[in-house]
Amino acid sequence: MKKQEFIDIIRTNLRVLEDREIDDIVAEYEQHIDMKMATGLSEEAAIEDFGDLTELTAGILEAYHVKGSVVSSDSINESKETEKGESAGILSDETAQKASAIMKKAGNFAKGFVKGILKLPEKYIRELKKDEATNNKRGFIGSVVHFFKKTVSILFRFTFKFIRKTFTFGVKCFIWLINFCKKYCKLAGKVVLAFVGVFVGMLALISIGGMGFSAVLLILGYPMIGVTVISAGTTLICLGCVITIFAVLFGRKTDNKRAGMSDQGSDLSVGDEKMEKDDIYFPEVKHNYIKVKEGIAHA
Amino acid sequence: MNAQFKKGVLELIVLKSVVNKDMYGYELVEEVSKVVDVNEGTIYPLLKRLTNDHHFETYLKESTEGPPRKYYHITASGILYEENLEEEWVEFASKVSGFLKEKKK
Repeated sequence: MKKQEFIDIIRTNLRVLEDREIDDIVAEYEQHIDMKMATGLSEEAAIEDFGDLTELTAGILEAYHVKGSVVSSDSINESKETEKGESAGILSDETAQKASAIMKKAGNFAKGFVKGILKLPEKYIRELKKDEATNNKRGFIGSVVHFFKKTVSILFRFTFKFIRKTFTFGVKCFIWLINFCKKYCKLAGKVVLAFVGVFVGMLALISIGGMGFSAVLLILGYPMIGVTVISAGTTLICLGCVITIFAVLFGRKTDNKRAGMSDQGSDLSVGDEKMEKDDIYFPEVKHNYIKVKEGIAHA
Repeated sequence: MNAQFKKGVLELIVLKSVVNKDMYGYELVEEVSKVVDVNEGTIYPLLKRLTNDHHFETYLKESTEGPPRKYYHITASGILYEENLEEEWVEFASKVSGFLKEKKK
């Protein structure tokens, strides 16, 4: 293997890391290979000493607390899949898995439905053939009646099965949806609240306009007192709602900011420079503390 | 030597190598290779892990030949970790050899 080939493989297998990290790693290995070659080894032999590259990159990824076996197991064709995984990463993995399970089930359901429809004529013919022998005894009208009866019963059975399956599938979907909503109700609630807030705000503007208009007419002597009072009331209610909604939204927002920050903190294991800033001395402090504690215990 | 044996002590050997003197990757690989026969594929990921876990710090230093080299420096946390590992290893080794002696009798 040539050096460039080696570097390409490393870069591909480590593509989940930040470019800065990859460059750093590659530069170090390149240097190592150069040094080995300077002692008289061939390029191939110098690279051979790195052993199995999949194992090497898996080891590196594990250093970032990433499951190396998952990411580096193969090459570029997988990048699509990782992208999918990353976008699902916005939600939790568990939810993503459940969503994909539901999708799979929906697929199976649709497949089953199509299969059932395709099988229907076959079934129909089979049923009719079964009765062919007895049909002769029934006579023409008898067999026509029998034919209709059969048709209806087959269709009925099919429809019944379809309804039953749809129902169970629907229930499953519904349960999943409820779980999903429970998990993300904060987010969804925020979105809904924002929409409602905007809507009510618009209503408030309209009613303010209406109030002004009817007040002017009232002053001019038109019998508009009822309309004015109503629009004044609406304005007050709407404004109250808007203020409440935005108060709630604002409260939630600060909460989320805090949550977001701690989230980032846990994500740092995938090689981020912020980690160095905040946490670098922390483990030492902790270790020192433990050490001191042990010292006291020994004394 | 048994691969499983190697894996366990490699970390200790790497940490111990850097305790007194900062080293760069290639130098470290050579140092470790004196004790156990390992390939670079095992050592570099280990260095990365120790760095990410804050047992090592790295810095670049110009060299007379070629591009600047990345040196590994052990942190206070690394030293404590190494001491722990060493203690564990000594205890473990003496227990195992004691057991082996006892069985020989």
